[in-house]
Amino acid sequence: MKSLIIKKIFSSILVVFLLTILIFLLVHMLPGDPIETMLGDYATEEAAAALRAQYNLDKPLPIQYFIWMGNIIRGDWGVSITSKTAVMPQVLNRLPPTLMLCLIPSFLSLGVAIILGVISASRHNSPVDLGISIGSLALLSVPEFWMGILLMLLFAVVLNVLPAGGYVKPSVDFGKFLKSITLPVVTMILHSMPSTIRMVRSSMLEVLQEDYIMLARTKGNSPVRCNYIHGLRNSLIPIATNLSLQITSLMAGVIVIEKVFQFPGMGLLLLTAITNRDYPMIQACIFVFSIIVVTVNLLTDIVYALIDPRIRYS
Amino acid sequence: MKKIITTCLLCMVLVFTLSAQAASEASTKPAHRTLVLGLEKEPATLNSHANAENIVLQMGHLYAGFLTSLNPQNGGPILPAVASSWKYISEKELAIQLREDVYFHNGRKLTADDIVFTFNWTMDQKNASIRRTNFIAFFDKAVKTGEYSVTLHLKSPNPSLLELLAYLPIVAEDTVGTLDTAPIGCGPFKFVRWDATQQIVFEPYEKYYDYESIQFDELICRPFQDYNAAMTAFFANEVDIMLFLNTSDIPAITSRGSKYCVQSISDMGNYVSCNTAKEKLANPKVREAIKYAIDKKELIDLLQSGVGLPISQMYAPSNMYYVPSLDWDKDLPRAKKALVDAGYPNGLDIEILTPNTSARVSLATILKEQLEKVGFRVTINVQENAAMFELFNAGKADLAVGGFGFYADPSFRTMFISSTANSNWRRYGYNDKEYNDLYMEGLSATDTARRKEIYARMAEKAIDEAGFFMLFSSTSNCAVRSDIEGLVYRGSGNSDFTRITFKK
Repeated sequence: MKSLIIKKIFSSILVVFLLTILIFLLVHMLPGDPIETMLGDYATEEAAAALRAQYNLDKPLPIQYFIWMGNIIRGDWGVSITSKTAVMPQVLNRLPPTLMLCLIPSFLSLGVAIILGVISASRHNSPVDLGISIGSLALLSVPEFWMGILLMLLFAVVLNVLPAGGYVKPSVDFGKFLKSITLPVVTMILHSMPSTIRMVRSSMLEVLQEDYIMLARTKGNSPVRCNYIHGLRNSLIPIATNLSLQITSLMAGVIVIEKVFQFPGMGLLLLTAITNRDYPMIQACIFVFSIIVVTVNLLTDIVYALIDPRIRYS
Repeated sequence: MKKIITTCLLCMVLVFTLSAQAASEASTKPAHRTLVLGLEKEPATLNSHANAENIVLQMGHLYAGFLTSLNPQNGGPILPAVASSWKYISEKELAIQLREDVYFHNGRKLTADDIVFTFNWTMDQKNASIRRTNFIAFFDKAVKTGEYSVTLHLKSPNPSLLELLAYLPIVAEDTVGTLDTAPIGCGPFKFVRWDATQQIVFEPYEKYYDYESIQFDELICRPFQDYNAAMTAFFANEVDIMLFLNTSDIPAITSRGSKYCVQSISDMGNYVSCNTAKEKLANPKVREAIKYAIDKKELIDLLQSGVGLPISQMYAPSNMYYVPSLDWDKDLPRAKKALVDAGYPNGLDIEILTPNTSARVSLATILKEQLEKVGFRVTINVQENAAMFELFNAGKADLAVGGFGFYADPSFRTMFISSTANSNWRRYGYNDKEYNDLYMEGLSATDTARRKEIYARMAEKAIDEAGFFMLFSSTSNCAVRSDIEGLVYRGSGNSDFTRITFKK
């Protein structure tokens, strides 16, 4: 198990290194120039050249990459071209809200989705199964930004019980913090839960056909024990895979939710940086996202080994 | 029973006493008033020396001081601000007397040294101030003549100087380092804090010379990335003034009765420009075909719900330099004939470059339909802002649509198609010596009659030679809660909130 983890860590580091090259190249391939964007109608050649020199943007790309990489290793993520402040504090400040928006809905929706998926699978073709399937399909079809705006209209305008966007830090006012995250988290849950329900349902349907389940039933075990102890455990591998994919896809979708709810996360930071072609910020944000994705994949591999001993000893 | 009644009576007395005390406190303690503004996006910086976006300009007008102030009445004289009075000693020397009661938000009093520093700092290329381009052609130096007096020396006379001063934020040596994220100015509102993506908080500065006119205790600017979310917040009464409002949403505001109202806050001109460096657009007949294919009235009806004026020059029709005789109407037969005479009887492929905002894309779409009626085959190239600027500045666009706020002095915008050092002329490919000479002469001419001649000739050339077609004037609108009044519009990115009052 230890050697497995060490191998996975080393391969993750290699992946992150290769990603830095890809990130750098992709960012610089974006059409548009940060200096001209910043200067707008005042972008004369003279003014633009002066600013490019200031940000090392007049140097060849490989030199720019090595400067950036060297700084990253030293813990200096550079200075934002638009705000002229250090990138790292801004990114680290915006990371917790994004993680909150990805992880809380993932785990909350997982809990609910497992229960609904198991119920749906164990009552296959019943009205309950049909209702859960149709409901999850309907939710899957609704774009999350539209759902978010509808929830905002209902709870903020009509009922006036929740704020229409914004974020309050828990240290400032915990009650207002809970109110401010309710709508974004509910939106993310409603968006991510359906696919997990369907995954659990289909996985359980396969497992419930197995002989050992029939044996468990014959031995007089309760349906709950058969489904959750014997059945669910054996369908955890695809569920773990789905959870890992969901967290990473939520990180992509979180940009939309942060935009709609004006949530101060990394998604909004990245979106603004891309609009302004703020290269250091774009690179830093994507770098952080890629580390998170690689870490989630690494943890998923470890979870596989914990769930299934055969993987551990292979 | 007696005990119950006694207990109830005691409770009632307690409740009344506490309520009376609370009411008494409430009546003696002034209510904390907050004005919340909705912004269309989060500004990239608060430094209006570094960024030309309207939203950044607006932030600058909250905290920064300016020597002069624009008159809310279009065409009215420039008003004093930090400069209490001024006098031209000669055509090239402007003596300015400063107010003696202006303080920076760090408590330090403003003196003539700060004005000198402002000009020196702005003109120093290494500071990359965008304001430098406004002054470079004519400004020489600022000289301190007293503790509260300065003389501006010019290389050549400039009639637009007083207007330019209304757009030059005053900076000081001890405050210039934090302009981007925690600016210190000498304007009406002191910066308090910036909670990223959430709010930018200001408060009225108690040492501001007109502090008593400000009727609220806090000014919060809330940026919104999503327009629908912004309107939801406005209707949820979380925002008092929404500084941006799509024209199509005006009925949604006014249909809610007297609760909200719409106010116009800026005049701007919309245009389509030709890149005359491209062979097909270097042909004057092709440009003539484009010119007469454009139906400005249709654009105003479809894009502005009929609100707006057709224009032909880079300043408002109310401007004294505007020449009505240069206006033109759609003439489809003439446009078709011009295209045939240009050597394109079977039509011509042409591309319109537009940023990806809904207003500009709509403008490009309607122009496409109008041009196709006379034989052009039009494609629309929608680009994100940054990519659009790159293509535009590199001279890769055929036609491009855009807009800008009006200035009182025509030199501000006529600079666009000059090929002098402070313009980005490659966008339009127009490099004409006569136009440049007229532009430079217009900058320094003081005789009004001569200036009228100059700008009339420049307008003619812009239309006939440069293919820079102004289309219509439009207003930017804001949505305001009906109990709020006193919002004053002074110019592009220059809404004044110091006169805001709350109706009871």
